[in-house]
Amino acid sequence: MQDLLFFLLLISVGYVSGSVIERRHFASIREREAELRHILTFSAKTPPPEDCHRESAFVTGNVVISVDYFKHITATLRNLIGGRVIAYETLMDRARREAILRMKFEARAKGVTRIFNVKLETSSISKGRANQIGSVEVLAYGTGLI
Amino acid sequence: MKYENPEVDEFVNLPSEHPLKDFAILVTAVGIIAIVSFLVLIALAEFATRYIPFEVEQSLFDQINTYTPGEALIPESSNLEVEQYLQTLADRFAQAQALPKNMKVTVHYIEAKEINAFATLGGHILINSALLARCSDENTLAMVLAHEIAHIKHRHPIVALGRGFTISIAMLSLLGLSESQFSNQIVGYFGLATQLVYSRDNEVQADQTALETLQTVYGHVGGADRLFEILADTEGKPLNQLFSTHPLTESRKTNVKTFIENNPPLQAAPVALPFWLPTHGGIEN
Repeated sequence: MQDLLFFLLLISVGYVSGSVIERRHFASIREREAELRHILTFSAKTPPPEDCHRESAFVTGNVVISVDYFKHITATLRNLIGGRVIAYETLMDRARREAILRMKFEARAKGVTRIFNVKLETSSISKGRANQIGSVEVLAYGTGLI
Repeated sequence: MKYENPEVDEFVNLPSEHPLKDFAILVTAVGIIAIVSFLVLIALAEFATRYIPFEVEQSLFDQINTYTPGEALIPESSNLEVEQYLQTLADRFAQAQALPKNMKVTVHYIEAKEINAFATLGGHILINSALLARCSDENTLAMVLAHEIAHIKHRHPIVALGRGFTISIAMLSLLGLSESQFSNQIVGYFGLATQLVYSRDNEVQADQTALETLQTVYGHVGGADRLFEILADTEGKPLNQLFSTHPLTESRKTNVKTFIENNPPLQAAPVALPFWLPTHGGIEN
């Protein structure tokens, strides 16, 4: 009985803290996206001919976000049943946007206004044991044109 | 070249479902699937385990009991006199319950601080000194013994073992696919809850048979309510009994009252225990 109560307690703490942090993070993301809207990102590999003679710089941004206990439990139940893992979708969206924003910050610091060949790489960080609560890391990188 | 970077609505990548609702649906779905599969497996297990011969039960018990020397399931008794006395009583009740000839009941008595009595495989029953000390008369002791013998008569130990074993194997094979031990825990709780329902049914059945035995041997069920008073004194609040294998003591007492209404007692005097038995309260013979 105590096990069950402890389990429910962990889930509640995970849900409450996780959703508060997530909401704040999204608000911060929207704010900074508005601020950095003037820096353009392209997935195209080569810039158009008129931009080819500019200085370039390699810009990156990465972020590591942890999964909270509630998301983890929901995901493991989904793994039994199947279907969209909604909890992780918001997590990945946050991580991607945050990584791109950090890349744009570095770009601004270097005087870059356009970033070409933007790529995203995602990896999961856990201590190696399959059952550990892990984190997800997203790295965004590209070629910035000054 | 002129580029634009307008603000776009977030609906594309952000899901609109609320995570709590999602979680509730998942838990309900997993719960229903788990309970239905466990019910089917339990029905099969109960049907099949009753065909295991009693002799196999006895040899199983011997194997388990001697498997780890020094850590036997039921250790050697410290007081053979008391054990012999309890055995005599038990044989009397076994006969009253018309226990099949090949099913032998063996009573064990050990010293312990916490009240406990159980019936296990192979007809072995344990009663400990803490429970015996609280029995004020033979009728209360009789209720304990008759209850445990009833478990053996209805073959509850081997059936419960078969149930638990089937569910464990099912969970291991089904959930071995799952990545996380946490979802195993969730399904495990559903399995436990389902098993507890059956365990309580067994207890109710054993209570009923025990009451009938007492009625046959003594003509009344006077010891039963005294036993439940003792249990009510020592166990915890009703909330702790949520995950208990026994039904609530209140409902057991109610069953006794119903039984008395249907089977009026012949005479109500309790029978005294032998004077040399280690008990705290006792009636002078």
